[in-house]
Amino acid sequence: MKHLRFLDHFVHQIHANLFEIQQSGQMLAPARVYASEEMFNSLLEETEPLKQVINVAHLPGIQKYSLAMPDIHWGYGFPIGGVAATDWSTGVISPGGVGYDINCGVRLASTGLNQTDIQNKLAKLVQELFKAIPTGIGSSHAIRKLNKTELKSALTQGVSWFINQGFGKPEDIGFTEDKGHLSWADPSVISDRALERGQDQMGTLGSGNHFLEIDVVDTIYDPIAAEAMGMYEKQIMVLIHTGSRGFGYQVCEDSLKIMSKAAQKYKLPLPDRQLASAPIQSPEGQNYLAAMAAAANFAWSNRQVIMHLASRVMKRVLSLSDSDLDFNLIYDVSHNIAKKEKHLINGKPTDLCVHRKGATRAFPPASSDIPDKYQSIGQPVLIPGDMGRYSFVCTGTQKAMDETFGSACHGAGRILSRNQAKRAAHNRDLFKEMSQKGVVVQARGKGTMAEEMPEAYKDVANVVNIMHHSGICNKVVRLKPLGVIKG
Amino acid sequence: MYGFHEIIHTADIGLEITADTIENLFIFALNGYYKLALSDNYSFCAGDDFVYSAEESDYENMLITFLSEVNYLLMVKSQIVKPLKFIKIGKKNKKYFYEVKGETKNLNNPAKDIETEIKAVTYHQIKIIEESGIFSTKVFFDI
Repeated sequence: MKHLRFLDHFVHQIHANLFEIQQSGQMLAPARVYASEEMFNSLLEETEPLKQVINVAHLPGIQKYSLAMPDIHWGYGFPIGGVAATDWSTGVISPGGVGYDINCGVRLASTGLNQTDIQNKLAKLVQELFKAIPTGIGSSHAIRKLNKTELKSALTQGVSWFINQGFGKPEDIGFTEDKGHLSWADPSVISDRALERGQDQMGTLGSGNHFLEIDVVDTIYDPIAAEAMGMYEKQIMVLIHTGSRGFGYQVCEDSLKIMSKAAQKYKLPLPDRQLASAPIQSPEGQNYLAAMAAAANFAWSNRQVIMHLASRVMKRVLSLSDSDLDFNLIYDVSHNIAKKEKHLINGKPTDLCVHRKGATRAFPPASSDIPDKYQSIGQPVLIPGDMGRYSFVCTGTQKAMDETFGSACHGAGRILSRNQAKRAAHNRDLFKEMSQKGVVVQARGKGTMAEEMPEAYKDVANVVNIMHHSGICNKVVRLKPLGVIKG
Repeated sequence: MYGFHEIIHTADIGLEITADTIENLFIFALNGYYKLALSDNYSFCAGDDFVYSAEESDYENMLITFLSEVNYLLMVKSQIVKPLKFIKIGKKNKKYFYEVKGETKNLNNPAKDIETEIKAVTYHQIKIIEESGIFSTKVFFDI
């Protein structure tokens, strides 16, 4: 076991891929970071992400550990890749543990197509997807603008409201985390400004690292799990990454103002204002939960609508019927959310508020919260990489339940800041470079391409391998991108 | 010596701002925000009068709510505020208050004029420091 120091804290290495920062000062729990030695040494030098993991350990009611996944990077309040569970009765909830893009997440759908079926029409397909699914800053009007009554119904009912409007199949609901619906959503606590922002943004990708990809199944690691998910080599898949758009940002912003006052009112000793919190059982805590749930329902619906729009484009461009396309939702996961979950604390099932900020739920086989189809393999865990390399589909494990409140990483994690990436991209034709790798990209601008180029991210395989070797999730398949649309 | 510069942040962006007065700190923060969000050759046409006032528990909250309002105007309404003038700013009965006036201008081509989508102005590490008559702070933006 290796012993290290970070600032005034003792650190010891528990195993090859796990480090623990011991509890000291005002920390209410130790902090644990899943990382290789090389990654952890970089984090020691970078300092900010580890300071944030330590800050999270100050949240009142925190249980067991403040956790960080191997895609950890500097966020605000929580690090990206952070997980923290607080006691449901006595602990706090923090919008900083969810983020502005509430229920940002990933959705994977399978098709009945092989790579050879789309090869000749890939460029056209990407072009048409880019036209049909609005991307970029303030993107809107993918579908008709919802009036406020309709939006409130959608916020209350989640994905099922859109299924009833014809955006998908009823069976999609069961393959969405929480069935695409948090029942405690309450539109009455949502500001007019948030509602206004949400009315015309349903079915839009937005900007930054959000994307829609046409992928191909490239490698199968676990044939049994892959078969259970209906996946096979060379199969064409659609991967969608987006969240609650301006609606969610506004809900978070409105909530942070309230939580900032609440933290003073309840005299919560917090090391960073972005960790502004309120006791879960306080009026402020309950209102945040209700507003966050509405934004979560918006985000699941957004991915549902985008998936449906994508299926329409694929059928049109490839001249396919519904049965030819055979478009099926594999799963939809959230990676920015806080939810009530039961976990063992000192051997006793306990209600907790699990914050996942850039972390994916990874529930094990036989969990009552996952579809019947996946009872024997565990919950699909979707981990996108960058647009030039690959993404992974994994499954959740019992070890994740035991060690990380049923959580795994959510992506590759940035290594270059956006400006560093832009400098690295200077004088390069990134569209051409991607094309030479066999990836057709349509993006709003060169700026996005530069910020999102593959070198800006860690190799997601290294991140996923840490989770896999730690037993937190199991690798099932690797997907390679063929076509990408971005904001 | 006074003004703003960008701070490197792995996933997002930040500004470090220094000013001789609290009013100028807000104005430099506004200019810095526009530098981050807008393209170099954005253009605009006349808009409406802009008046904004608020009461907060401290200058930090005041700065965040002010920039959040400006962010809303740009990201949702495609409007910028300029020039900005302080009508009043100060502290009374443990409350900090301010009122600003300016004009909102409509961007001619928002899709090209706005270069970076800023989701929100964060409270991360926010602290306004006054030392020997110099005000300084750091603000991080979620993008």
